[in-house]
Amino acid sequence: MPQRSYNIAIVNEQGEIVTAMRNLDPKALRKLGQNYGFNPDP
Amino acid sequence: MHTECSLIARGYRADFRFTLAEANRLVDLEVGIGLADGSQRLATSTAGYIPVKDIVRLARYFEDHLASLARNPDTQSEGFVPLELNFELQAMEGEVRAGGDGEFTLRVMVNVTGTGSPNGSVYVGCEGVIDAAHVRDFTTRLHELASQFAADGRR
Repeated sequence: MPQRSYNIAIVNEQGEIVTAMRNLDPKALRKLGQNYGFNPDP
Repeated sequence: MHTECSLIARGYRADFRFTLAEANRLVDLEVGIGLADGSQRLATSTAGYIPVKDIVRLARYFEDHLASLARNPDTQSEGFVPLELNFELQAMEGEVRAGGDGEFTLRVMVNVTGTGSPNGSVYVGCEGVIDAAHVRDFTTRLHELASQFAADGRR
């Protein structure tokens, strides 16, 4: 089965998109979640 | 304009190169790894945006790790990644003695393909012992740079 991938956009406090990334694997998403305080397993 | 600061471990080094963009007032960072004596460059990460508050977060990551090691030498911190995942650090077991001397194992991985590449990201890295004194020099420099960038209106 192919591994899931995620596309994400990160928005700052002013509502501006500061970065966007495509094809993140679950491990990368989990690391971002640990570092930036969001649930990486919605 | 570029500004650099370095983490000097026993045997390898990681050079953090900040690029200050004038058009949007943002800060980009790329990380290069090589042998400590400068004789060989091993890899350089892709460049990625780093918010000024993440420069402070990076300094605190090391400060917190040193404080944890003083209580428990087996401390292994979670990995540190920036927003664009262009490098990864992990501070691991070591020792901090009375007076603040000490050392720990540090892994530095740089993303050489960028995120979103069709075959996934490829990381190249170094792992070895770094002295607490060198880490404190690095965190002091990071705080100075973050203050300087913030005073300059960068985000």
